[in-house]
Amino acid sequence: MVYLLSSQSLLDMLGDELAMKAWTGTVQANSIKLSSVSIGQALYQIEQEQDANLRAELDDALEKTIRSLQIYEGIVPFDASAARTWSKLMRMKLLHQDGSNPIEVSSESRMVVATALAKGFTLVDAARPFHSTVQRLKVISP
Amino acid sequence: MVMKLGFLTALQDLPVQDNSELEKALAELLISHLFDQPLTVRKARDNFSSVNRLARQGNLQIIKGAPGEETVILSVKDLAAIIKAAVREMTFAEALDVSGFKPARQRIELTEGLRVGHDLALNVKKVKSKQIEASAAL
Repeated sequence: MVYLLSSQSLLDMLGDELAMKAWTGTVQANSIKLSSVSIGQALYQIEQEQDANLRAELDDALEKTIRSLQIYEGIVPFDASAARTWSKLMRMKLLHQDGSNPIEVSSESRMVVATALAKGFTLVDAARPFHSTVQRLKVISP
Repeated sequence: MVMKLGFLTALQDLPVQDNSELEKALAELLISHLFDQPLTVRKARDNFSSVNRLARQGNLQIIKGAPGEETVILSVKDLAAIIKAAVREMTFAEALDVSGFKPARQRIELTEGLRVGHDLALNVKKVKSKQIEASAAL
């Protein structure tokens, strides 16, 4: 099985979230993929962080993660097949959070989901309402 | 001739968390798979053609030294096999550890939501009017 980290899973890993940390010890390094879109999302989010020390820590952790994954050719571009899938996902109502204050999945995160679908990867993501909305999407929630 | 499978498989069980433990276990593993005994510098020098030939045939050669400072002679083909065997079986956590990865002290959350003016060349009104149901085929 090949896993694609969601952008939030990547950030969770950089921030030492316990469930993600435990999960990384159970999977082979060559089975992990990261979308180039997630790298952009993570960098953008890190840039918004006010605490300079935390920003530096996150930047360093991201850089080491990218380098580790590059060894295994684990960085996946957003290619033509993913773009075709993404165009369909953009027409769907995909909820990141439901309830009284629903939030839709961003277009960038849809690019990551599209990449998982187009390549047949299993998305690594915390449980989200949209997971059951998207046909054929395989998800694991550590 | 290439390196023996038993040696390559044993590489995957080496303790990689601690460098000194790894060096000790690796030296023991290398010596246990030697064609002959580790060589002194003098013996290696005097018989270098033979040492080189054996290494090319897949019999790696060790030159004696202080613990952790022994030297190894092997072919690029065997080095590639070692790297392949070691890299293939590493967990993601171990790979991160080897890279010097240190997690930040706090996690941050990704901003989600479709934002007008930030989406990629989309006519948002048009997109909203065309939203389709969950069963859409992908």
